[in-house]
Amino acid sequence: MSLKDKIGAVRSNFRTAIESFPTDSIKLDELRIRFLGRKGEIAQLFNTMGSIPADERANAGKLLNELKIDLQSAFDSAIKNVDQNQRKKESDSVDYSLPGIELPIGSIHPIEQTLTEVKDIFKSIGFSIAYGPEIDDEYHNFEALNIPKHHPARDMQDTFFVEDNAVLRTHTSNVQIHLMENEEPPIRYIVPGRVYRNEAISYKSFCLFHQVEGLYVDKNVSFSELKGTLDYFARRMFGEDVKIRFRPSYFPFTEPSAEVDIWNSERNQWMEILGCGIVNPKVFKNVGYDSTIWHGYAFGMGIERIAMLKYKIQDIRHFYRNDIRFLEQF
Amino acid sequence: MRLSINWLRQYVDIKETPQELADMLTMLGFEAEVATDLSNLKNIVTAKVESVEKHPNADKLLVCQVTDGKETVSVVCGAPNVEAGQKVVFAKVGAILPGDFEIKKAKIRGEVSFGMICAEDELGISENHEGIMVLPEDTNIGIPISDVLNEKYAALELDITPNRPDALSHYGIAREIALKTNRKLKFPEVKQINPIGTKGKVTVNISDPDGCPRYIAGVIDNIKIGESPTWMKELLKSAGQRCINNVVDISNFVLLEMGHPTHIFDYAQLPTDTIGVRRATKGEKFVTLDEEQHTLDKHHLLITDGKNPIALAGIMGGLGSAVYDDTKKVLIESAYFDPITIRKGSKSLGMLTESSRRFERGADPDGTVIAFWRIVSLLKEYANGELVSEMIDTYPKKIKSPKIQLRKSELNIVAGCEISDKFIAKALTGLNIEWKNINDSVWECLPSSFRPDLEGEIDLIEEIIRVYGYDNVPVSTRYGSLFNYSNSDPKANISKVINTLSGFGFNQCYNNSLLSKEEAKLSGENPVKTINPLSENLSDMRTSLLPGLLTNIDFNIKNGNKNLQLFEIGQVHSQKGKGFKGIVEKSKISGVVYGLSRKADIHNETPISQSFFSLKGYLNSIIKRTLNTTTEYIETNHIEFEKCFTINVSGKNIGFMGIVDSGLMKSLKLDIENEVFGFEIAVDLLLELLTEPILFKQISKYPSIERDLNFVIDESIMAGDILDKIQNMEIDQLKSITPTNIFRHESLGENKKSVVYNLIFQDDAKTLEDKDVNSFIDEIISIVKVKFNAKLRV
Repeated sequence: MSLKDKIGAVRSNFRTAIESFPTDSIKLDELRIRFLGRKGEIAQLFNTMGSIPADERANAGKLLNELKIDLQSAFDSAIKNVDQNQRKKESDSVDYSLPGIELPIGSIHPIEQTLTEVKDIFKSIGFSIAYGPEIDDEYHNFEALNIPKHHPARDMQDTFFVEDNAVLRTHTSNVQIHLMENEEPPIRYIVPGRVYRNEAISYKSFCLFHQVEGLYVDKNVSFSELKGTLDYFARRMFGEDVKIRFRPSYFPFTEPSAEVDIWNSERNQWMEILGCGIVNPKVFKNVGYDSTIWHGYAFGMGIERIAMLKYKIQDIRHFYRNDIRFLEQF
Repeated sequence: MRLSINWLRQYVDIKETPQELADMLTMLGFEAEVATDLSNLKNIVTAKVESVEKHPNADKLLVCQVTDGKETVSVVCGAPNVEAGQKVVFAKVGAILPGDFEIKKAKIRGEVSFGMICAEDELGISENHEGIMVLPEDTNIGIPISDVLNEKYAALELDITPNRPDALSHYGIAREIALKTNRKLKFPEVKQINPIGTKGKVTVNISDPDGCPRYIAGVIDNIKIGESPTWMKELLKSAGQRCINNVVDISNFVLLEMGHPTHIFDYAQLPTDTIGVRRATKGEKFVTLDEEQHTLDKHHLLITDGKNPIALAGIMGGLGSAVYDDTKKVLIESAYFDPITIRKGSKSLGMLTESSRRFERGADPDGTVIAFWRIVSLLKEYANGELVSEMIDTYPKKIKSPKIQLRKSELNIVAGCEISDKFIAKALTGLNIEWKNINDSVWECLPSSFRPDLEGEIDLIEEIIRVYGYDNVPVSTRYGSLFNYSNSDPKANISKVINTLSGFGFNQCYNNSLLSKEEAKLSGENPVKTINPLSENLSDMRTSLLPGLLTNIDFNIKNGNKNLQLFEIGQVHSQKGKGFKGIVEKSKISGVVYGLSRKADIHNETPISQSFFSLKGYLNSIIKRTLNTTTEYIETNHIEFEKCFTINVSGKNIGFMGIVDSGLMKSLKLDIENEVFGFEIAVDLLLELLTEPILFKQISKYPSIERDLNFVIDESIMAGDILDKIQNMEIDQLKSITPTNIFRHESLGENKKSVVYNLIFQDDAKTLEDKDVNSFIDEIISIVKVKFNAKLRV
């Protein structure tokens, strides 16, 4: 038999074999050893190369190589089919109704989220953000804000005192004073932070809460513009169709002063959300601003109250209990 | 303040319903709520008690036959004052009383009751529950209660801001309503009365004119103590006052009518005809009307009989000189006391009275005269009193209202809209402000003596805008004046950390900053303490966030959540030096992990516990994610941790991490069984790093080569030390080195272990060849062999 015939025989044997068991991986491996193994049929044919006349040897090598490549590739594709079939079989047996592999659920505290939302709204209309100390002297927390020592207005905010007549700030308005002491107008800031009130803890009050205060000082700042700004805020925060009212009130550091209420249609009543007003010229005098040139408005809101309205939370103490069953909802 | 609508009608017409009136007053700056409104009460009518019999089965109950003219029903009643023939308020079956209390047919001790005879408190008229409410004999029966009683008893509850002492009275509120509605304001004519003789001599001696700028006194004789007239009793009752006798009621009536506090002394109890006003001496004792004894000092202003105290000025009278049933002759005091003096005195004694409330906010120095004559004429009319002295007006320190210039231009700037001259004139007049035009655009104004809050131009501007109506000021925006706000939020970057932590499954907590002293001291820092704490448990400011987070772990374990990853960002305070200046405030971010990081489930049978390494992994990932850099840990000591490492980023120590000291849990009395792993990072240092811009590093396009090295070393040598050493060789091409396996076996020798490191090499500029890598490897091996007495395991 010539080499050519031998090659033809190997080819046809291989084809017959591979077609008879296309998906049996064990048989396929036997087949690989029989034909493509180190002592397989192709290797044996290569071993006969020495007996081939020298001038035919190059052509014979080429044919043998072709045979090797063809068989290898036929084998590879057969193996690939086997793998695919195998995977398909395995996947048919998976119970896809089983639960997923769960990861722990993290969360951002609702106060943090509400603070972020409030900050974003005011950032979008040109307010910068400033921070200040939680423990401050009486001057910055009270006197500079036109709340003299023996004035009934002090009763509006029950105060925690520390040594030296310093206080746990009762509002973030102390930062107003620090800002104006250090910067020339015009200025436009909001001041988020934690404030303290010496009040008994109940479902509606806690000994601390979070406030965002705003201050804008410029030429010709008016009550009308204050209304415009807070109207925008209320619409962004509570929706375009929010019903809002400004009613006269009293804060020593603003005049005129107003409380802002939004209508709660579920409870059928007005809910107070913030206090505001035109900066009292006495405050400007205390920080050395010329009230014949500058006017300003200021406002302050409790973030807990807004978050309670937004998420319909009835008890303020939820915020500080840090129950996972509460936190995970936000 | 409880405001009787019927009482208001004495001075101004009221056409509004109670709710409409409350809304109007709220929008005028007097926050008002409806306190009593009987108009919506259905099935409650006037009725007559036909007969009263004892309940057969209960000693204290009665069975009454009650008729509304149409039908007679049986009603079980427990009131001691019910009598046959009385006209009463009867709630029929189906009536709903205030507080959503529905009247149903009921069987009480075997007797069926078809309704209820009402007491005042059940109708929301007063707190009185001493007996049923008895109506006048001539009351027609079968009439809805709202028709009979609402007129008399409808009332509002007002929250008056501290700047408006003038509004703490019915006349004061009537004045505001008249101004807002353009209605006429009526005040009962107050006449001066000529005294009958001058046998009631009084000398007033004010030794503290700052504390008492004005004191008016007068003596009234022939008083007949008795009941007040019905109209006055009804008004007082509708304003929530208890009636005592005609003299006391008259003083209370004038207080609630016009807001000026007066006091009436029993003249017979005064040893001399001298009234003194002076400061108390330190340690001086005094018993007030409420039978409380007080120890006083120089902060307290006293009214004396020339020597001994007879009243705490502006706060409360004394027990010894109070009016009793046998009082015949009285001394009337109508004074003006200094607000600060009264406030200090009332604060230090913890005595807030109707009188002190008005004086500390600023009474009307001229109101003293009107109040005096009002009292005199009412005593004459209703207590047979005769004035037997002149009105003795001692006014050592005149109080004048300031002259204020009001500029139209300023008003328009502040309002942001134009308010007409006509309106301004009307508002000023309505507010009892004397005014004249200096020119077209400037008014010169003199506020009335009852408005001490009107001190400057802005106060007048506020008043005009208030009366104009905040609702009528247009809404405008003017964002055109945007200016530079480059540093818009110095803490904005911290949100990256918050987002990353929550993304990794951490829950953010907000804890109370106030802890007990013991809890606050656990961090080893000296806490800032409050002088007037809410309780001992909440006395000091936190010095660390860990106690709060540990308490949260305990709370959640008790509520069934045993696997926790918590964090908090917040301020902590410590007292580093003396006083206010010695307080240091810092912003921290702390976190804890506890329990399992992964529970066993149907896919994996083995749960994975939180560990020192899971925390370390979280920190590495968080820092890699937010700062794109690696973290180093160096062992250290920290009072809050059993095992503690510093967290070093870019060569800076930004915080601590480790195994939280179990002693901390014990001190906090928490039931936490397993180890807690925690960290704390200084926010300011983190923010500094977060502000550094992230710069893109080129990605090498050349292939990397991976090698494993397996060293046998002494048990005492740490895998991390070898890793650090290799990293410190600063081979640029060494992209990463990771320990992948630790193996211990006797075949390695006693106290030996083998550690496998996986090393990845890559060059940014060329394809690395084996021989390049081999030379790095040889260098590494030789250094590790020498430094750590290591052998290569083949």
